[in-house]
Amino acid sequence: MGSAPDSFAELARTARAAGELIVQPRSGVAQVEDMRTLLTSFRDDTAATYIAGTITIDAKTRQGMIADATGALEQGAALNGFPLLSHKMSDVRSLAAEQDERFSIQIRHGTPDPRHLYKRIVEGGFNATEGGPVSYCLPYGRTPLADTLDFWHEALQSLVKAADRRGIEVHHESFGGCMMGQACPPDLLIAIAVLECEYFIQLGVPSVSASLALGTCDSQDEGALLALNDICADRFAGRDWHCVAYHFMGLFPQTEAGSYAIIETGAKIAARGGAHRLIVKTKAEAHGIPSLEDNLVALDRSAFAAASAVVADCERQPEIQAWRSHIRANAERLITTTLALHPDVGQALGAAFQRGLLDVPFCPHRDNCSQSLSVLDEASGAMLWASVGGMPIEADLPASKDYLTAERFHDMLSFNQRRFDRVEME
Amino acid sequence: MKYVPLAIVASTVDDSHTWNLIGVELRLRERGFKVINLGCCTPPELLAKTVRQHRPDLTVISSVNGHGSMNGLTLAKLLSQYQAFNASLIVIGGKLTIDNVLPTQVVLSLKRAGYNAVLSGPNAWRNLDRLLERADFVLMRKEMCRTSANVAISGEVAVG
Repeated sequence: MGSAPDSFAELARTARAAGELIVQPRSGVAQVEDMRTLLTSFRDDTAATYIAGTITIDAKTRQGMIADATGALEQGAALNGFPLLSHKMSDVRSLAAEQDERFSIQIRHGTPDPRHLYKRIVEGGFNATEGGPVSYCLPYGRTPLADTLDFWHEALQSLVKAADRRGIEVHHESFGGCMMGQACPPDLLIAIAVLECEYFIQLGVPSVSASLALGTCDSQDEGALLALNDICADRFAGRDWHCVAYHFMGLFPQTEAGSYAIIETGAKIAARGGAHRLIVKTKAEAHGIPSLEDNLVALDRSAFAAASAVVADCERQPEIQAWRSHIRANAERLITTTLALHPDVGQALGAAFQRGLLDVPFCPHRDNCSQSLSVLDEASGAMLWASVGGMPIEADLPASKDYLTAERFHDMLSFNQRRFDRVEME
Repeated sequence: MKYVPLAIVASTVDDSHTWNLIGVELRLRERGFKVINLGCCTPPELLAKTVRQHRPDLTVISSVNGHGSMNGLTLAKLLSQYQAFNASLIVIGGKLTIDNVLPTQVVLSLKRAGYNAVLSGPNAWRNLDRLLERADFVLMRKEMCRTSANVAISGEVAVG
């Protein structure tokens, strides 16, 4: 276990060399054998070539309430994920042993304080996880940013140390490109994702990925993914990196036709934008927890849609290239302004938020300045800056106090639901 | 001088969503409220204390992670201890269980626990508006009850 051919980083390199998009579902259940059923089915029962499996940690373990998670597990209560620290290590390792050269598992957790978890990931036979000190702090509760930066520093050091001791190439993804799920323009998302990757690299993580959630405008999304690729290729040259796209994370279409339309459109954009991995949503997204079958169908349809979508650079519409260069320039400005604040990337991130040089819209965390405002252009679906607060970029729209109304906010959140559910009507 | 009613917007202890809180805040502001938004994962004690301290005209607890009914019942016990239901009109809403449609017995148990209204499903916003129209006279009464005329809005917790 954990030998090079089976690592997450190696899977990403292999798929990339083959020009294939890795598809990845989300999944997490309480019991070991139920978890195994999901993982082996993702591995064996889809037509996709390269698959990343997911073990999502339950909310009690995320919050550090390990004894509660163990108690709930013993009583057979329905946990909303896999309590990795409550199971026997030999059982956890038996799940890790299901990995092979075309199937690797990532531990997904969502905790602002992963110290307890990161001590055990490598011991459990895994070599990939995700999150970040900003992206798992600001949108998720009340922990101060200064605290999460300390927690992550310690957690990542122990993760890297454990991996180094066993000669394992550990991979860490930044969730920064998915901040708040939706309604943030992509330049800021890219900046946070790349800055978190810089942070991981500074702490010795040998393999990183930068994320970006798909939004509400196809040309803006494709241009943004291309910009993310450009920036990573530039900054992380000579290192191991890849880009991961997320299917739209906001209010999802409610009809089956609408769901598959957004799923397949998203997979095509991911492929054309040069993403190397795609986190897949299912048709059950608007309604509840997906079945295994929902997941398998979504993985297959995403992989097929992606395979048919790749284009050469010269064939791209000028609109996409315009988004690409605009988003790249803005993201670069945010990144370089932040990095200039302090040689330690963690401290630079803390200072950038404190000064409002990074300012996430619609994020009421107390360590976010909350002076920025984004709006959705109803004609194109593009997310635009109505106000940038103190960020070193320019607003797309003239200053006005009238942009944000309850109705516009609701329309913005439901834009994709309306857009794709219309498919069924036609 | 025109009376400006005060509202507190809060979430439940394990719900990290914020868009619902922003949506509620915007809607209440447009209806003339001054709003204190306590943010996501609201500690129950903070909510109870803030309600008792500020005696708002309206308190909205919004949750969309499917645990709202469970958390809402626990929260109601604490709000009762703090006599918060006497200090404010308190409603709870959002996606309160993992069911597609909120079961009637859940609505009833939340109302029995003390909430003045349970707002869920496609008519939630409309029903909040109707409640506000009906509540007009209540707001005026609350104004009379206020201990201090000018309630300071804590900059630490206020949003927007």
